[in-house]
Amino acid sequence: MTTKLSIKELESSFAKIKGLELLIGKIVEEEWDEIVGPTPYPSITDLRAWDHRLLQRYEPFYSPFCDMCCLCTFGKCDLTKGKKGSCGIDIRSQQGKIVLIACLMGAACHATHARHIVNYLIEKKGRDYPIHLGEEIELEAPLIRLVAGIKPKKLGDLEEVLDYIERQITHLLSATATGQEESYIDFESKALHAGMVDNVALEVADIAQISALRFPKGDPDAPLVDLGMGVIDKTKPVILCVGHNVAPGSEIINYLEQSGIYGSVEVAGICCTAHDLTRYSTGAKIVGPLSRQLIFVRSGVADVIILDQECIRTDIIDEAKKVGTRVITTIDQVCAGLPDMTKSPIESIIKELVSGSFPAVLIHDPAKAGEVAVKVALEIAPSRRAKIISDEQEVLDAVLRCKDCGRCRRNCPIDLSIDEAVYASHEKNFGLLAQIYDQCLLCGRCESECPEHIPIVSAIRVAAMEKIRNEKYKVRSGRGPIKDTEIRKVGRPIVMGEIPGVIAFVGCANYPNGNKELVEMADEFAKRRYIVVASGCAAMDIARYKDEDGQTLYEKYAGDFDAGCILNTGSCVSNAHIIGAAVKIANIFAKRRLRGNFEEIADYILNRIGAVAIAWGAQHQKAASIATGANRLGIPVILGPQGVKYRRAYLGRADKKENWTVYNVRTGKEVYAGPAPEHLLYVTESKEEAIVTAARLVMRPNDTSKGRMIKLSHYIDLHQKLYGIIPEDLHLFVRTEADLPLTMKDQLLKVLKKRGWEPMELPDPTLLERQIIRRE
Amino acid sequence: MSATPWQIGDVPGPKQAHILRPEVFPKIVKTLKRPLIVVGSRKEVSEDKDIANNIVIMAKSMNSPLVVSPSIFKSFMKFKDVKVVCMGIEDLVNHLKEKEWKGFDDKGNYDSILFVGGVYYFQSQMLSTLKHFAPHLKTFSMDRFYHPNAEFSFENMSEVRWVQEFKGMIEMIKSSSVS
Ligand code: SF4
Ligand code: SF4
Ligand code: SF4
Repeated sequence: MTTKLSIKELESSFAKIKGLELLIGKIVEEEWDEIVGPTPYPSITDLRAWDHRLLQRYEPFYSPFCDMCCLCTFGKCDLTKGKKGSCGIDIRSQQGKIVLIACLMGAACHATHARHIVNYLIEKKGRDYPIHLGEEIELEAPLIRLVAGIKPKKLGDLEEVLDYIERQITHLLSATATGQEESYIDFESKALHAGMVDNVALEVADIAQISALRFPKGDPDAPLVDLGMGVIDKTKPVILCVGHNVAPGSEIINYLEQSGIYGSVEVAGICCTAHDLTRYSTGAKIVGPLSRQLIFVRSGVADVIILDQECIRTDIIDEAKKVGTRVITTIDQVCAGLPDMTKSPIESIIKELVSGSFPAVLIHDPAKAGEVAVKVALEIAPSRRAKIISDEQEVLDAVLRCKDCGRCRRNCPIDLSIDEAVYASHEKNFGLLAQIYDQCLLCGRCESECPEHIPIVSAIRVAAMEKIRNEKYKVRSGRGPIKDTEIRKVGRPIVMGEIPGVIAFVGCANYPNGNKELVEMADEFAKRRYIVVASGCAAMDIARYKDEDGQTLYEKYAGDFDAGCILNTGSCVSNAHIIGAAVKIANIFAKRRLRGNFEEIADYILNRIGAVAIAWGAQHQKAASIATGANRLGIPVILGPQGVKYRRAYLGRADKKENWTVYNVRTGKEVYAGPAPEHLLYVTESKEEAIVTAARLVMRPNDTSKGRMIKLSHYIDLHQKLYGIIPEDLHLFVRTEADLPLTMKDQLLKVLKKRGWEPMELPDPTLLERQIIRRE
Repeated sequence: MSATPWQIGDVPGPKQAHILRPEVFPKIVKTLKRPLIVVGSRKEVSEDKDIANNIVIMAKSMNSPLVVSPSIFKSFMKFKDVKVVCMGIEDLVNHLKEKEWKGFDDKGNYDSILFVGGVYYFQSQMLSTLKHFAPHLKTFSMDRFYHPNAEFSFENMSEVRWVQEFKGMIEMIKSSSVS
């Protein structure tokens, strides 16, 4: 933990010092007069009691992916039937350990991303460059204030936050080694800690880049930008950026602007780098989420690919080489076995890349990489384009080799009938392949299993060519944080339950049935006047569908943080603003102190703020760590069916009344408050289940009767519409008759009577004994 | 036809399902005291009225309630003389793994869980939870996919063969329950 030395007043013969605070050799000018809460810069164990309280109610539920452990040379150990490994661990704790490792992978990705971007920006702008997120945002860093207990003013202030995050990750990682932590509950407590520091890292990265680059600053009217495989102008040289770190991509744009040729080269992105490129410049384009990577690279449209960090396919350089695309990797996380040309003269790097003697190189200097990318693209584009012959015929010939053996389907992560689709192409029927394009993850696992080496993803591309050409959509560029003024407006109706909830669509593109279900979910909640927010690949995929009027949801709905709107915060790191919005409500609306005051704020959110995230296509370890961090703050997350492969959920048991008591702040009495929210992390099997579950999980013990009535009317209506019946658990969520939707009151009272319902108290709820203000 | 996991990579470890032959299952049925049938959300199963009818016949013959995944509940709610419960499958499995759970009739937990119609990878993980944390239960997978995480599973077979064998099996269960 950081040691803080405060000197109120000191006078010596050398100097007179007043109001100075010293933090590990760093001078912090302290102008923030908020009282420091109990846990600034919390250690691994500082919030353990809170974690255990949460985990007592929301028990970890494990679905092991593998029955064995092979983490040390004692293994492999068979952990079935209650057996223990040579080190003494059982399957439950081993799963807790694996979950912690996954969360640490995610947190480490975000921490290095944040470190890289902060270093880059400090080098460019200096340590004293101000953190400034726009006029209507005074609460600039809710998560940093909450966890670190500091109020960052300058880029340099973020370095000490990063020092803290990196220290925590090291300590947590050490706990996963053989012979360290042994209890599954404490592995989970540590995973929650990893999730929390992950969330802080997100905020560090995004507030640094919003402040120092020219990103929108909480602008609800952030510009609409182009998205889709069909928006790229192939007549121009094309540079594609893949990953998450915008530094090299922004330098491409800088160089093009300085050279006066911006507009004559296409700058496009895949995955979160794409979001951030369009936040930097509206002239940049988004190809799509991470699932578009293989198919787009294979199309050969990109002349140069810039790789930065995270979610990059590890075969992308090989694929690029096959179509003559040159590749530059730029961050130390992805060296890819390439020659390091960071220190070579620009002209010689260009020569190697253009000639193809080195078709892929490493340049650890964003500005240099940007300049090289532009010059190489300009030089090779004309000759490359002339040479790329369509692979259509080759692909069509290849599908004829299909023997209908079915192995491709059996290797497909989502069990698509890809075997039937390929085999149907024998008869020149490409309809099934074109149809499968809408659901396919384009991951290529099917083709790596095919004994006939049929390039199945390329076959899908050829079959769906017309669809791909027409993939032209609009997405609102990532606006970043929620304004303090917006929070002031919606804070009360959210806490009272009158806005039925905040639904966040987050995470990756690993959907069970394509992106359309995601669009339908977002539309359903926006229509019902929930506040809908989105980030990352999910935010892109919400745009990848037009309604009958030819509009995407971003054109149909306004981008405010308000009822009936849909807003895109931006890339993965912008998830900080979704989680941060809940923290801001506690501070701005409810005047709760943030500074080092994690437990109280988490308790506030869990009991009062009806925010739920849906990670419908969660895939990466980063999604696991973000979700786990949100869980520690009391925000439930719903996963799509693929999320079951994270191996762990946090489930409540609505039937165990004793699990759902809270203290009434005003009387000190422990009272039953109903199972709200019922789960913290829950995997759903279908879109319908996800929608209804979200409508249930937004309920909170603090809802006023009017608020609960609104929430219940949506829950009942969605339940009837999608499941065909009135919810079986209705009686658990009705506290008094005043909670019942007026139009259905008589009918529902009959149902409640049959179920033996009795009215219950409406407490001013908390799980923390120390929050009780009066005891009766 | 083989006893390799339907998804080639879904190899959990040394403990994998015993192969269950549809024609043998009717004999096993008689040994099950409190069975529970769980129907997953795969549309091929719920949208085929014939299969849905057969699942209901099986439930009636075995005196088993049916838990169906919420998205397909509408296809099953019309059946009146069998108890049909609409419940998320992960939530259900979380109840099942507690030995002392009282069940849907307050008479205690079930002794054998029969899965059909689930999304393969989701069902595989639910079976894994029960395999590791519910030693008090027997699990059966009755889909056309070999599910290694079940205790007993049909082997991989074509849709056509599965429909045929499934129906044949239910006929046998039905007639033996009548006799
Ligand atoms: S860490 Fe423990 S369970 Fe894992 S391989 Fe080593 S001894 Fe076996
Ligand atoms: S590319 Fe599509 S069909 Fe092939 S394995 Fe991946 S998701 Fe399945
Ligand atoms: S694996 Fe190859 S040969 Fe077999 S069905 Fe699939 S495409 Fe055809």
